[in-house]
Amino acid sequence: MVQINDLSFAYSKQGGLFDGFSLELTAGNIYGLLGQNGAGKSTLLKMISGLLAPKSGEIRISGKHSHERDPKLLQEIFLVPEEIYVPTMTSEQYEKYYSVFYPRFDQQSFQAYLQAFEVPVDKMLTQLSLGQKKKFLLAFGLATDTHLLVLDEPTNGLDIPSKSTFRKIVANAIHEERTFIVSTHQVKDIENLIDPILIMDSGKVVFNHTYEEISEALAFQRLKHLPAATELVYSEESFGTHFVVSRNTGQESHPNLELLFNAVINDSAKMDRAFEKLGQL
Amino acid sequence: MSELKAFDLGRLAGFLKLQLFKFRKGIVLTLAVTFGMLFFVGLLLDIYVDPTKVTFEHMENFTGSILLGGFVLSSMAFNELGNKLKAQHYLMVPVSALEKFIAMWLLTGLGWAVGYTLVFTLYTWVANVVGPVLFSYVSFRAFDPLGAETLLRIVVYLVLQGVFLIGSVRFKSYALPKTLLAILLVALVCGSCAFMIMKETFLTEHRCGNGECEYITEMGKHPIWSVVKWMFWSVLGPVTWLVTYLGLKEQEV
Repeated sequence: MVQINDLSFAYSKQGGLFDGFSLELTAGNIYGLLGQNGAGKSTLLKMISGLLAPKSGEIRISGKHSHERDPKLLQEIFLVPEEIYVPTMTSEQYEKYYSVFYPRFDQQSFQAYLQAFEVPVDKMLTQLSLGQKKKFLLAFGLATDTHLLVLDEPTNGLDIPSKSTFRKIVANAIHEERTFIVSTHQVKDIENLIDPILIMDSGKVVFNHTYEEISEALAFQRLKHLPAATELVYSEESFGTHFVVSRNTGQESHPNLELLFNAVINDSAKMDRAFEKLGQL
Repeated sequence: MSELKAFDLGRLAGFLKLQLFKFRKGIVLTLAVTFGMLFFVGLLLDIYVDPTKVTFEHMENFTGSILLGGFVLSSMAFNELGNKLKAQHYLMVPVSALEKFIAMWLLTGLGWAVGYTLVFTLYTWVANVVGPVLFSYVSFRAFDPLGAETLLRIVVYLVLQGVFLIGSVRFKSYALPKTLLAILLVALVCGSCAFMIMKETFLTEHRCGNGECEYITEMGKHPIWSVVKWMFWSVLGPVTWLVTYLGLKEQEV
């Protein structure tokens, strides 16, 4: 679906952000793209969407170069950016004027999503709150049935019930021909939704594993005492309790994304070693 | 990607409808301001300050207003590119750069020229009825929208508006004043070059008056003038359209 080969990119005033970056995303998955501020997530999403051209290397989506912005390709990509702009028109007018560009746009689904998100349809889009604007674009993007849906910080500005609705709707909208990329800092909001998990650091993907692989390789525990150093991957102490990521030696535990993220950012090489062992099995 | 392959009439029509809808307030506002100026400055003030005027021609007003209104409108053609969020939204619409360019050219170029000429014709019908009531000593000439003079001015507008399309796609803000400044700088350079080339003609004694100017006539005889004319009629339009299209194609956010 998305094939990134040997990508290099630099903002002119800064140093190189990506250098020899490669990644492959396959259809049928909701990829969670995690990373600290400045890790390059938004830049990567812009390049995937064709809004930025790489300095060298290539990004192909269904075989087509994204930066060429071929309309046939653009009708298969929908981007919901972190900061939202909506034109001065009503929901009905937006649907009328924009849906014509997306061949599989489903009007019924769009109305159902708007209803589920409780977006007022009688107001001008510019009069909606930030969260409502975001939910409106999410509803539209999901209804387009594009092969690639790119969501940059989709839960920012959403209230608690809307976050829950978001998870349900997105989980139901994925199918084997679609790929969703969800970039976020709010890992708790999309826990149980994203799989595989990609973690970026300084323009590199330092972690790329499925939930299943994570569960097999790692154990996430809350312990009074730290385990043996050979098994320990990462730990955090809070109020006398240790939150631990260790090599899985048969324990059953639910992956804690926040802890996993901190562990990867703290020492990605150590994390790699934990997964190397899994590969040898 | 071949742009010709990326051209689709249905998509162009869809995008044209969208842009016309988004642009409707700008078009109405430009028309209102242009006609307001036309009526108060071009008609009332013009006759008021010149009591000797016994015939009123609309052609001069038509020329000024079609150019002024059209240049303002053309400078707004790609104003969405000046704002990061709007540009992101605009560039993600599944329409090729060629289709986006053609849609805007149809709206601000051909569309404005045809639409404005039509509305101006209606205006002259009203002005030619109201005018004699206000100024009984003035005879108001009819305006012919399909006359050779009118068509010539429309073509001049179509050639020149490409420059403002470039300004709109290249300047992120204040496109109109920046374009005018750029034109002024280019005119200064061209004027200086012309002076250097035709120095002798400029420095000889000459007379100007009553619509005749010796050195304009002399300049007209100079071989460089035919090159300038050819460049204006055959090169300027296509080059400005090409530069606008390329500017649109290479936009990034």
